[in-house]
Amino acid sequence: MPPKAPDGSRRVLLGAVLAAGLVAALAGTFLVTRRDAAPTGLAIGGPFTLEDPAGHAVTDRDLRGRYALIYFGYTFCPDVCPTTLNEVAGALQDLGAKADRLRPVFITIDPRRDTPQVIGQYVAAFSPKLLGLTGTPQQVAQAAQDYRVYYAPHRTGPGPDDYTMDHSSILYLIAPDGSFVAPIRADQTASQMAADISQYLS
Amino acid sequence: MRIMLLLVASLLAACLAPAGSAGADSPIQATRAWARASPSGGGPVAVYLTLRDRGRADRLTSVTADAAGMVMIHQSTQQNGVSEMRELQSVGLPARGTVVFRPGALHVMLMDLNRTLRPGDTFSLVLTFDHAPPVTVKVPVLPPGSPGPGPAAP
Repeated sequence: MPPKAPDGSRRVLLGAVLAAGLVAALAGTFLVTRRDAAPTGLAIGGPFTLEDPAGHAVTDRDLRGRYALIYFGYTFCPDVCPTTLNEVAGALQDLGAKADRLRPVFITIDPRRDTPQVIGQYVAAFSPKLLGLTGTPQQVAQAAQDYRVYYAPHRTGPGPDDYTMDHSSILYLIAPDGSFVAPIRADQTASQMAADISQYLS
Repeated sequence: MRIMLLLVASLLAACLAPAGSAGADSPIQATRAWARASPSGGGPVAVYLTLRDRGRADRLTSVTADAAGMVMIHQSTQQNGVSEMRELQSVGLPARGTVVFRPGALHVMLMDLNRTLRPGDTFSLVLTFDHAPPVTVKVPVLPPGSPGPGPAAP
């Protein structure tokens, strides 16, 4: 059976995503109007431990030292996830040398299907720079909670694998010190994405 | 001579026909069809195409593929930062109108592939409508990282 959120926790998740949306909207407004301001310290991001395609543990601390551009998705997603990751790969090219200061990260919210091997094969198709991360359902839930990411299975048939995932589709730009910088829209072109990201890479 | 002329004419007609679309008598043309390979070759595959209805209003009611055990029409939506994919039972085609299946929106999803689909492969889709006769379209498979065939390609 795919992970099935009970009604109560689904409500909590929905609440969380609404809150995240509000926070993101506020952050967007704040950052647009006060671009010169110090990091806002918004509660997005936090400690997590996940697994890379080689099966090695990767924590939030391992991502520090460079900006991180984090997207939560799943490999059984044939449309939105590849479309977003293509645009991310294009944005990295558009950013040129600036892209060296940025690490793109793809975290699955479907750990049941996305083993380290599966996610490794998946990210390699888009960019050699893209780091794919998975983990146990609990580890993934922790990371998703850190980023206020909503995810829930949507059944498409009677079989155990007959489901797709609804999920937050936002890119999170994280500073080299681990603090949240800004949400980046996932449903935009590579050049728009690059322009958005570029303004934050001081 | 007459046969030669007919041959040349039919060859010409074949070249001028919309790429990938069969059923010249159908009021519905399927063009610009392409599929995005899944990185594993075996995972779900999204198919995109353009449907042009030169006749009366119609509905696309089902899609089958020779490469997949299950085919669904899907609509992706991104609202309030949440991405969802939902099955549609049919897609309306306005009279003399065009419906575009494109990344991040309307697409055909192939599941339970009966063979791996790699970049460079092709497969057939059969589109069934309420009124128009079925249309068969040949679909090229592009790499997972492909944004599509581009404006100049079929």
